[in-house]
Amino acid sequence: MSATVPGPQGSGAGAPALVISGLGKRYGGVQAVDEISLELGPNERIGVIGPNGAGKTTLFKMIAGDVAPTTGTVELFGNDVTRTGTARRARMGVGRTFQVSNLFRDMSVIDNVRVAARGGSSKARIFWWPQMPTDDVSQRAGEALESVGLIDRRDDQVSDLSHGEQRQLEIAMALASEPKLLLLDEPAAGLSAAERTTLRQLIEELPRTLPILLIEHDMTLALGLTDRVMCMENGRHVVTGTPDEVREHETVKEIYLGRRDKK
Amino acid sequence: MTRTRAISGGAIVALLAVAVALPYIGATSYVISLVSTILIAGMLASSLNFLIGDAGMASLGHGAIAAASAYGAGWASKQGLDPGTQVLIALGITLVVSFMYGILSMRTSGIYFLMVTLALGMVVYGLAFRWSQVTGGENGISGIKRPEFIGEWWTFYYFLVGAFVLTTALLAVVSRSPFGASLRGIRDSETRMRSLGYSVPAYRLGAFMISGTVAGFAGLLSVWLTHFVSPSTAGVHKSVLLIVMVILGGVGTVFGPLIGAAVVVLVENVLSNEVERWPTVLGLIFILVILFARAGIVGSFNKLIGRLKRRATSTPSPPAEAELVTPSGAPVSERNHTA
Repeated sequence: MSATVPGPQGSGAGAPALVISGLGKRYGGVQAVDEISLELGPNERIGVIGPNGAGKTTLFKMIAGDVAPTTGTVELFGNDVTRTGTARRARMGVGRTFQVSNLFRDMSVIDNVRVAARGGSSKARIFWWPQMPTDDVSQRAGEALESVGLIDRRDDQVSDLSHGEQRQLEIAMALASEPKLLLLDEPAAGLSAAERTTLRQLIEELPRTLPILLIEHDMTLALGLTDRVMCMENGRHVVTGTPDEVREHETVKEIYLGRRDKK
Repeated sequence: MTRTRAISGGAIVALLAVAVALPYIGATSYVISLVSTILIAGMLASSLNFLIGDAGMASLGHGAIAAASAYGAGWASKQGLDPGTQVLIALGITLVVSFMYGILSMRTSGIYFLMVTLALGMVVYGLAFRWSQVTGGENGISGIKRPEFIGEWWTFYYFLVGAFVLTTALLAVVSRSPFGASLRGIRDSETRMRSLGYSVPAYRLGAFMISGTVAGFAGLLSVWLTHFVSPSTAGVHKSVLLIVMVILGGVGTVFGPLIGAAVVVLVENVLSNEVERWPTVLGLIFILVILFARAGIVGSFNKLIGRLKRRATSTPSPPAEAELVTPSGAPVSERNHTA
């Protein structure tokens, strides 16, 4: 069954950043994601929640282009990208973070962000000149580090950063590529309470003009940071609504607090 | 300028000075020939070092690229073509072979990449052996002449020194360029680079073309040095020795390949006069380096310098003069000033 979830009422300020229609993925006999549909408006933030095995990460990977869907379509900024690769989608303006920090461990913090800031553009293909610490790429990388509070660690090796700082660097790298759509895959995974608070502030302070799709296991974080939330279970759509609507939804309560025994 | 940079800069200048002075300090033609062989092997190893160190692609077919270029120059020389045409044919063959390697290697990595390059190397070796009308078959091509302007042994030697400095500097610049940083990103995480918009296969192809061009240039110089090329130059053992040179010297270091090449060439050409089982000695050296200096000779030296620097900076400094206090309670510095 397809669960069509239109954009928010009155959000017709522009074309949606992302439209997924009837998206499904089957691995052998397992239906990991089953006909999910969703529309993300131009200035909107949507959270996707669900327990382990709900299909959140598979959905995320299909949107990012890592995994080809079995059914359905993905549209980015009005273009069908269902069969388009990850790199091309990134060049169209999709920035993303990874569930497990995926950084260049032999590089310094600033070099990680510089590589992200060039983002496969012609500047990344310059091989006849050393990279300069004062060019526009370095400046943009510095600004991204500033925005996540890591500017003081710019010359440190990535391996010297704490787990929380590595998560912040993930976001800095996504921001440095100047995305038009930001996909965050469980950014709070493995963070302490204090690190979660920092991360929450960081995401809250991102420009409202940047549409965000946040996949998060932590319900409190997802509900607190987004305009709408979609809940999934066993690859299927359960409910989509405002954080308050989702919080009060009986099925969501059952999923997160446990099912009552039927008499 | 930091002390480390000053040390490495000084070492480079000293090495260069020794290389330039060799013909003037009575070095025999044997020594000059040995140093020339080291420089060419170092150049070849540097091209592979760039591929392994920056792009994370260990090739078992680099010797074959150099051999293909050498055969191109050899064939052209045999046809009586002028040196310029020799160079153009060698370069053309290098680019075509490197492109074929690159295309077939674009979508592979790790052990699969190694196997693809090994297979391509075997193809070149097979062609060298069987296409006897062009390659001379088992006998190879001999009597290959180098251009007149480097016809004298000393002019060719200085040409080699210059070519080595130039290619090493070029590879160092590429390594420090945005392209080099992109390659290191691909080496560390292909998925991350794709998610940032990088076309990974295109960068791999670019890396192979740059590395292959340097390898082909080294192959051309090699044939100008020995005036001879045979199928053994395309054999897999040559490519394996190149990997040994890179690992011995230190993967990802600028001068590691030269040091590794020096060790291998000296064992192969000098120690072999004294020790019959010189390959065993080379194997032992390799095992010892892997066990006790995994970063290679230059890499381990750099690490040691780094460790000593860190230790020097972390040693607690003696208390400041003003903090030293005399039994009477007056600071030492004050006492000194008032004495």
